Amino acid sequence: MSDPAAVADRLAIHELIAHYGNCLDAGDFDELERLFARDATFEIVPQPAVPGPLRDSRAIRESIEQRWRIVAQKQQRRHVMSNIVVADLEEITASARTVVTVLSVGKSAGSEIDLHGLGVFDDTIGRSDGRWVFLTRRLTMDRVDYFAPGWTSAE
Amino acid sequence: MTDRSAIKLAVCEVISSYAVFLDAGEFERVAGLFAEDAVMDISPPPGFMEVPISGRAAIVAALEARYHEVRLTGGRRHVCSNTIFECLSESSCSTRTFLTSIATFGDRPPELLLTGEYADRLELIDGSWRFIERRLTLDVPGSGAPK
Repeated sequence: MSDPAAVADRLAIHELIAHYGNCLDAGDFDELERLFARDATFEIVPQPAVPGPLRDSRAIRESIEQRWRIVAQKQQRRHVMSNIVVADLEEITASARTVVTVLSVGKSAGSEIDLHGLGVFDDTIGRSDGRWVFLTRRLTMDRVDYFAPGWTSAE
Repeated sequence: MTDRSAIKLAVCEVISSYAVFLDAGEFERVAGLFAEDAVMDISPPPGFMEVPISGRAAIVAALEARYHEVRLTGGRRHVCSNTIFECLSESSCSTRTFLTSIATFGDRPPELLLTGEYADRLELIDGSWRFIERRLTLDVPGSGAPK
């Protein structure tokens, strides 16, 4: 991995993954949408309460934003990304695996921080217009009922 | 971008890979992260495995046995963070990394299990960075931070 370009690419991919968490928790959905390729897909498994694979960056953004607006009324979430492993790095494609730890704190006085959930992102990533973007994101939450009672219903 | 930066990134990914592969039960990949004569230790001894363990095959066998025990009730996430480098050369390095271990369940919220710190030594072997030594010190309530 001594090729400087490969090191720069890996660091950029690490930053892309972190940036998703930052954008989501800050409610910056214009920026979040830019992290995905136009024809990207986003899938959450195995979650019966979640709609099927989301297709294209606008639909991904709209669905995630819709959920965030409901959750954010009562809770601030932190999607902490760690254990990032980049694999199969080529000139314009790569894959990555990341552990996400979700922490949640209520917005009412006296609320305690809740270790809310954990999961793994399996991503394919591509270079588009000189920057790395998500081509596919597949999120597997450890808890099967994590999104119960529904994707756009606060837990 | 220096060679040192490249080494640091590669080593950080080895440390992350250990946790990711272990939690996924991918033991062939776990094995590839250790030198053949690697040593693993946990202090204080955790009770669920005999330590220290010498040799890649024995380390992986112990980890795999523990993994299957844990899977009877749920899973684990070994969240690694705060890696720092204590020394670094073209062919060897030593690091320290925080561990946050979390128990996960399919039907209820996760539980914070323990924290600790890995002290690792790695060497560049056959073109890949591999652990030659992993020493995990667990934070025991009342004992202060690991030395």
